[in-house]
Amino acid sequence: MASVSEKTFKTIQDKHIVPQPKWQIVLRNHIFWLLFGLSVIIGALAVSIVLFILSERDWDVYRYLDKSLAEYIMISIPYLWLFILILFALSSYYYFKNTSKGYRYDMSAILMASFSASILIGTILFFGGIDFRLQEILADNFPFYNNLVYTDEDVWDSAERGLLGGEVIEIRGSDQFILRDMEGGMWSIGMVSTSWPEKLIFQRGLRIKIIGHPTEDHIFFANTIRSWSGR
Amino acid sequence: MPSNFFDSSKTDEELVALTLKDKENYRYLMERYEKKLMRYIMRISGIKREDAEDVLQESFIKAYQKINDFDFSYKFSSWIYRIAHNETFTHLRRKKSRPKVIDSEFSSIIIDSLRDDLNVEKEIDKKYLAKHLSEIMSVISEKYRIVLVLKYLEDKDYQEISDILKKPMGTVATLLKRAKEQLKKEIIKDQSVFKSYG
Repeated sequence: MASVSEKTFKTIQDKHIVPQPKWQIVLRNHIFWLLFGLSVIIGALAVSIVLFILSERDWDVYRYLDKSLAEYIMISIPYLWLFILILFALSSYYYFKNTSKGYRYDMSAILMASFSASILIGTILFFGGIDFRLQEILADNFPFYNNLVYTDEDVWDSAERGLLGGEVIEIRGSDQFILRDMEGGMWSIGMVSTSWPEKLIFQRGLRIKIIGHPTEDHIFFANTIRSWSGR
Repeated sequence: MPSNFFDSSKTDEELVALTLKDKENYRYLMERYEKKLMRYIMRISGIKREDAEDVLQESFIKAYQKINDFDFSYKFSSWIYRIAHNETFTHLRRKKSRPKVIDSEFSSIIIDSLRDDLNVEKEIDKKYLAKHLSEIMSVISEKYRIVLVLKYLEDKDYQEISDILKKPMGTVATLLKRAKEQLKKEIIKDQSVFKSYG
């Protein structure tokens, strides 16, 4: 009786079975490495956005919002981006596991390496001055984004509490200018003993944050003016 | 016949390299592993010989199709065992059946090694263990049984078990530790039942 080996060899010959080409195997492995790398990079972007949001936050204005510092910190944490970081760390684990030797590593070691790489790259991107317009585009154009992430737009859209943000539309002398808020409303801003950073160059189109108080309808007196972005 | 004269001293990895040039060499690899893999398939699944032969044939064909995927930094035996292992469980899933009782012969060396590792030399009689080990193994959960089979019946080391099961070495060590604990518990339980019926 023919052995299994003989029968198998005959089947291989009769059915013209051939080995899968090497390039397909190499490609498959490279795709998993690529997806792993992409997951780490997306995680890094999430880290850099988290750092950006936290660094841009004005941590002294919580008093104007009737919140304690702890409450303000809790609502300021960008949970959406942290969720994205975790999601892509998990996906990087899956892709790494599927590389040829990925199974040899523990889940905790892979996740730790992925998180560390995302945090390191994300921090480099943040300090390297990556363009954070994505965050602003999302905040300006997608209302649901503001529901998920507590943005500067949320903080500085509280004129009645003394916090007003927007864009300088027109400068009317040394103590008055017109500002368009984030809802499109126009405000006349008065300046008496107002402080602002020296490097701030007042001009049309400048986005600013103002701490002050409203007096009449759409008239606001500024005590402090800050640049919209500290960067 | 293959273009090069077959030399039984050639390593598996050398035969893989030769197979990539001439498929005739694959025969020698299959012959080298036929008995070992047949035994392994039957040990982990308990399926009939004819079914095990089908699984083995499928495993050999799959290994040939994936021969370019073989990484020469691995042991070929771990690679082919992994394929046979996966094919066995694919077969069981297809048949919607669970692994059955393993009817294995346990050599004196295996029994001694197990008694040593389980630290039950005093409590458990060697003859008793040789007679009842198959039954006891059959009540142990599948994931533990597989590592016990690989360690004690197939004589694989941790790295090989890790490569066959595609699990990290730490996980293999944990599985083996728990498997031994469960085996020890079952042996003691079984022996006390045996003694009480005496």
